[in-house]
Amino acid sequence: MKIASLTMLAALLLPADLAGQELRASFTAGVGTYRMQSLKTYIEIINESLPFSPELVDAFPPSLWYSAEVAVIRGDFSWGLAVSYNSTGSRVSLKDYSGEYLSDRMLSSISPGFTAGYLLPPLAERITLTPGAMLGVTFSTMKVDETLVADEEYIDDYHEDFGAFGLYGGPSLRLAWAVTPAVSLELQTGYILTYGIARFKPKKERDSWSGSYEIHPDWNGLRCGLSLCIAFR
Amino acid sequence: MNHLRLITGVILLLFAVSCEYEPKGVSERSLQPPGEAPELITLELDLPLDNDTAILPYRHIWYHFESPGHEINWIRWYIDASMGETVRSDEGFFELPNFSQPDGWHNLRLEVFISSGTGSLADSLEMEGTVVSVGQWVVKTLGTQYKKVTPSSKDGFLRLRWPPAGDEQPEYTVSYMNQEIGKTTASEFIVKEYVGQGGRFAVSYIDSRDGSTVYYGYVELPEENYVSWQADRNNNYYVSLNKLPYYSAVDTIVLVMSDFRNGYLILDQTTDPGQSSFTLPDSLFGAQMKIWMVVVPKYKDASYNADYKYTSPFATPRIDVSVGYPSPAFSEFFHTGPGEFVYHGWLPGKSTDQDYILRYSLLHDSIVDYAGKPSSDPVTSGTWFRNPSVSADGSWYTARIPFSQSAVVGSADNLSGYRIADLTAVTSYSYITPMPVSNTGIGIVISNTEWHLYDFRNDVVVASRYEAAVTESQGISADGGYIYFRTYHELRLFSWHNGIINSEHVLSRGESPFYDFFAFFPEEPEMAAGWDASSGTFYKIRCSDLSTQNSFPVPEEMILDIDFYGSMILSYSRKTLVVRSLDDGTLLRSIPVSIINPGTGMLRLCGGSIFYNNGLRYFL
Repeated sequence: MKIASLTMLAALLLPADLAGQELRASFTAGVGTYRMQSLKTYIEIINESLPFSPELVDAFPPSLWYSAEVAVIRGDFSWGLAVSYNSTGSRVSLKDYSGEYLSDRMLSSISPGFTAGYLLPPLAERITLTPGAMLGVTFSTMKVDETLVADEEYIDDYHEDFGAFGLYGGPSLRLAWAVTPAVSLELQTGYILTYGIARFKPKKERDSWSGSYEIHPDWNGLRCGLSLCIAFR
Repeated sequence: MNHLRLITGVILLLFAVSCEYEPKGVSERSLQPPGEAPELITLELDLPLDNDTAILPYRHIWYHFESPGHEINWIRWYIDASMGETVRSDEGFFELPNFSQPDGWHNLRLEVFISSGTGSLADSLEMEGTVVSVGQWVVKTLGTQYKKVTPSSKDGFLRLRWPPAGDEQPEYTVSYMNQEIGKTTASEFIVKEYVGQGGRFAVSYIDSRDGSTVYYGYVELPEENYVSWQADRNNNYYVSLNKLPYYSAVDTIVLVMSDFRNGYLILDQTTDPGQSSFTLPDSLFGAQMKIWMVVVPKYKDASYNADYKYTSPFATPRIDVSVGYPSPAFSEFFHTGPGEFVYHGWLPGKSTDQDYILRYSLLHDSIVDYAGKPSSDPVTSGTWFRNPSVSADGSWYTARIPFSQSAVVGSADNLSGYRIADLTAVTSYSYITPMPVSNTGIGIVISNTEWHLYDFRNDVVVASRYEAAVTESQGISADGGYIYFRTYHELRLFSWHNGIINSEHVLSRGESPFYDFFAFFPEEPEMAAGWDASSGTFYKIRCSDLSTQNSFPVPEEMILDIDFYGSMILSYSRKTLVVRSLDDGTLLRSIPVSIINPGTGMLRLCGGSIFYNNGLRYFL
């Protein structure tokens, strides 16, 4: 999380020193959906292999995401650098008088990348619409916590951190309202497509580990958010 | 502007740190914990539940367990405390390992795990259930080569089972004694025609790849039906059949005995396969029989022939039966009191090569003392106690030692404490006759040309008669005062008083009465019992003057014995044993028997029982 924060600060602060350029910095927070099909299938397989029948009680729900971006405005186009943070997860649970089974997966990603946008003519005074696209890389982590207690005896107590690398890209659309000449608010929406180059592997034994299943981070999904934009002239 | 950058950056940082996904929710179920311990039912097991020792033909053990309302998760066995295989099925077989000592005994323990059935997490993990110990056995495998086919009894029929030949079950052909009896695509076959007569069953199938016949497995079944014999003290005689393993296949059980005229004779029969015993009439007492049973199958194949001979495939092995309650077999029998007798015979469980003098207690129903020849005696076999005699109260007994002029002299109170008396002076080497002895130790010793009264207490001759003792039987009274010699034609009675032998009476056949049976009363030395066959009259007579003290009819063909202590006479007439009172001849019992013309000494009466010398006893 520290790395993610520093990366976003760098993306925010470093371009601001460029003198004589028209820059725009934006900070976005919103809600994203996450497909995570590979993990859902994996969890289903695992559940079916267990001698009991646990339930997937939390299956990668929509959750908050954050993004920071700096962009240069030249003519009708904007060119920028952005970094975003997403997190989601799952829980498999079963509990009765004899014990409890819990299997939590907490996923997060840091995704630095490039953005490009086309500045359409203002729709109205102070209102503009900007279609765009983004492209970058994503560093995913998955933290697994699994415990099984039966008859007051720990049968399983498993904790492991996994990591994976991938690419992402997708279209976006921004509807901006200029509060002042330097400050504006934007409604932003887009769809993220990820391509997992590498599957999840444990961080500790990354080279020697070989799992039975290919599990790729699958951050595909809709992103909607509200941005605060500051222009530097 | 710098302030705005700083504030925006801080807000963004806080967002990133604090808003990470946290999993939520719990799936909780409400279940009832397990209740009472489940019940285990053994439907089938190739191990005896009522015995802790088992001899297994081979190492395969089939089983089938059931627990109502519960699931059986696994069975597990241990050999000599080492855990063996865990089999996750409630029905099937497991295979014991090859033992390093195949002839040795091993400890086998069998456990069954029954799930609680609650469906809880612990139940799913087999942590919540009951481990039931089915039993522990000391087992030994015979090392019989397992030919895949296993026999067992199911619902009273023979069931043959075998492991599947492959993933795809072929159609198996089942044969009995090389004749096809059925086909099946399952791994088992019920043989309804089989009643336990033994034989070879084989299983084969056609190989679908090349059409060849695969002889898959077989089993050789031994004959499983056996007849046994038992008698009780109420003169009931039972012929029993073992518990039929394939009772549902049985139509009739027929009890058969051998008959020299017809080959066999049907004694009884039943259609109830649960009836395992037949009762023979007590009139068969004394009979020597060969008996067997024929187990007639309910489902007969085309080759079945109604045949009750012992050679029938459905006949049990024959057994030889002497009808009566088992008792000591004897060659000579001597009354020594109301509740015991001494006899000359053989020691139970020992070879009949050596003879013994034995004392039998009716109170204990057992042999209480016995004596055999000295271990140093070089004679290896044959009768050692020749012509034994026992005094009326058992205080003295004598017997000649073969190939010598010596005699055994002892007391029934301590049979083995006998001594060897040298009778060279009064006997000949080859002339060996019984030496009746009185309670005082005075006995009769007969040689070729004379006879003596011999004091066995002091080893001296106390009186002699220098005349041949022509006799078939002889006796001396309990006090030694009277002696008799009897042949078919004549009865000579002597007295011995003051060291002198006097001839008292000579009775010849043709006189009346003439005593075809003659014996001294043991507790009344002056008195003798005589029976005249021609008139069928019993007399109690005084020896001194032959006066009759008492007489009554005993009209039977012969008197077999008198139990003076029990005051009863045993007589015989036309396959009937008759027991009368010694006091007045009252008929006490008339017992039809299967004994024809019993010889002298074959049937004796003592302590309320009739003893047959071939080892049978009849309780009055």
